Amino acid sequence: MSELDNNIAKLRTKHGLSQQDLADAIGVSRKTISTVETGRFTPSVVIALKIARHFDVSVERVFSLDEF
Amino acid sequence: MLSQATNSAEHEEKYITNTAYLSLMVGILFFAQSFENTLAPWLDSYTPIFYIWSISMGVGLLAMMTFVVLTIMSSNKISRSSYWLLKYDDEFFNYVNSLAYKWAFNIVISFLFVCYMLFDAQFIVSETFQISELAKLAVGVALFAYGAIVLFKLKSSNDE
Repeated sequence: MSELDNNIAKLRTKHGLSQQDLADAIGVSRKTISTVETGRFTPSVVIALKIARHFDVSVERVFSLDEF
Repeated sequence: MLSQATNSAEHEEKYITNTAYLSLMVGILFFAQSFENTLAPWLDSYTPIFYIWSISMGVGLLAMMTFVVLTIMSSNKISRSSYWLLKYDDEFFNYVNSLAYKWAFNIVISFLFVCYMLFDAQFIVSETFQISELAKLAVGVALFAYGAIVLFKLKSSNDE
């Protein structure tokens, strides 16, 4: 089994953004960002790409698979 | 364009929340209505149960009408597909909506199966609780389950 890990909180902090700021920037709700960050919701490829593009990094820098 | 999408997410959040509250209230009213015939002997006379029942139903109807108005008001600012098909643009709301539908379906199926078993084994025999009462109860359970699950998922996603 594998779980999706992410660095969104770290990237947000680095760029000085709140969850609402990031949500506004990529056009989703704050709840979407909040639940993706905490691993309770797995986003679509579209949102993953939007987040990566916003931070100007590759998707692999934002999301990774934790192998168990 | 981005601000439009953001506004859309905010409006969708209001709409799904109001829809869930409306579903919860209508569910409770259907649930209560299904027992009206059973409670009829106490409701006909001016007993404490009659007053409690009347006040509760009045408050319930008022709350339902409030959420009907709020739902209609919030539906003006969302897309037609969100309104008619409950298909939201925001992924998380779409996920919550689908999850609530699935759980409501499973709960109603389980509930009806238990009812079938109990009625079939004649554990429940009642002249006042007929098929129309059972249908009201099933609708009430479905609507209550949908509303409760949506509100629970939205509330649990509030943590930073």
